[in-house]
Amino acid sequence: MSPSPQTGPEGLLEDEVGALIASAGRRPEVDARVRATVFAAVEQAWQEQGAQRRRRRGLKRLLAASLAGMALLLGWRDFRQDPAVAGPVGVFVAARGPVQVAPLGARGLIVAGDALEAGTSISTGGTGEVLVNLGSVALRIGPATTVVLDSDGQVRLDRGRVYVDSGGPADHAQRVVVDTPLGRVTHLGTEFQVRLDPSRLLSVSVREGSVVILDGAGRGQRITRGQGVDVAAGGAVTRLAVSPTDASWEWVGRLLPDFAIDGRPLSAFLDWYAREEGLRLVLVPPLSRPQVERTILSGSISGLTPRQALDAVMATTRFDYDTSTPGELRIQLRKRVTQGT
Amino acid sequence: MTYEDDLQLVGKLIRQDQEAFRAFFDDYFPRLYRFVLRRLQGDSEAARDVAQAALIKAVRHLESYRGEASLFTWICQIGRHALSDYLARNRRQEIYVRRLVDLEDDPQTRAILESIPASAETEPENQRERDDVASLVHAALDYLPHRYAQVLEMKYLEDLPVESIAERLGVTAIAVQSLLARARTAFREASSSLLPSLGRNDPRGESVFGAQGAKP
Repeated sequence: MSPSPQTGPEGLLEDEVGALIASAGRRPEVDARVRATVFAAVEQAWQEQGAQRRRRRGLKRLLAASLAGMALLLGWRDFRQDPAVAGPVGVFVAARGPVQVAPLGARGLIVAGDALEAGTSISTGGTGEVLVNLGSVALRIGPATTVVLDSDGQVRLDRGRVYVDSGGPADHAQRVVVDTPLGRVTHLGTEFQVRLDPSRLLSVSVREGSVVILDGAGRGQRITRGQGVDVAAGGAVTRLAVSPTDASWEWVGRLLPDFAIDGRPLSAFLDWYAREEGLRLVLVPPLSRPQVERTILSGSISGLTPRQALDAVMATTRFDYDTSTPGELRIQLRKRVTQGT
Repeated sequence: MTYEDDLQLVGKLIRQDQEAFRAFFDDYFPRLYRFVLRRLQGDSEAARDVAQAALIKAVRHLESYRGEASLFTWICQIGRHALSDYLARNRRQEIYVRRLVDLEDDPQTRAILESIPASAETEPENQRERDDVASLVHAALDYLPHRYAQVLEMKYLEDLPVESIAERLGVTAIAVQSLLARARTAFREASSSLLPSLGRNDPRGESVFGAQGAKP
């Protein structure tokens, strides 16, 4: 005997799933000749692309080897004495206010898109701010700060404050370590701030994800979203709560990396906005994550503030946003106006 | 949220894994072809050209796939561009404008197709509605993970018993039952939201897709 009919979350009987699929019949098959023709064309393009990729890799290796050889011949650098990774470790993205970068290179100036070599020192004045990319990680350098880009993924903070945004959980593979005289901060994703006061107080706060702080004595502290820790010069540690919307994060929003929306899902934009504002993204049922993932955006939000960008983007979708609940960015389906009434 | 399996597959394609390429093609080409075919009113020759152009572009830009949406969504987006290019070249856009395609291109409908599910309160009243339902069921199956669609078709179209499905897939009968349960849930979730868009009244008395699907 068969059991009583089971119903799904939407009340649809299991038998009805079968009936619906059966009534629709088979999906149209692809003719074997069509398949073979397209397969050959796509496979050829795929193989050509692979060959091109290999050629590019080969050229890069050749170039790197040539440069290394030239450097040794010309005595530019004694690699045996300095094991730090040579070559570009970051890209200069933007700056405002008084900023000093050293070395500047032959041109004597630095512009957006320029590579930053290992050992580059960046200092900002009281109103200066700098944004650099270390691979997929955005590093924002605050006012009155000095940092040195030691090597790939390693930053030395001598004074001031930096903010690290790894771009979300997808980029956890890339690690950035912030070294200070009072301890080393390693992120486990995704947004955190490190501040070194002139009074030699190290403050670390986490807006999203978690970080581990290793002090000079090798003791580890792990802090997560909404938490902070102060490490005094003598080693005393104080834990405290730092809300993701705390005023101490405000400087971070003044120098934003461009977020390219063209061809990307709405969910990526909403995740970005929520991160930038320290908000938690809430999708109000019946809206679901797949719905915002499958809404693909086009255009650009370059030059807009995050809020302006949110207004502009959401106006093109079928969703509304609401930020009236503290700490939350709530997205819901827009209520429809019935036509013809 | 990322699509780890899709990212892994793309990683293999970038590393020129021939087996992965075959699996990729066998899985994605038929779905993309049908996706395009629905938008070209069944013009199979044009669908072949557009799907081919889209897949070639996809394999040339694999590095730009970030795993933010499913690989199929990403490929469909490329397919949409290829379709626009084709229609612009051939100046035949007006021929292909059709209600079903409008519905499927609606961002919300697309989203539902991706998450997949169905209500079946009333029988379609005419052939066009039946065709629309069938096309959307096919589209829903195409958006499902390949394994889900495969097992649902074996069960409900070929009417195979669980044991035979297990034998064909090389897994145990228990695994097939579990797979079927997940596949039914996924299909149900999508179709229950999707089918009201064809004009069926949803239980709350309003159409999910507004004017196009609403009844007076």
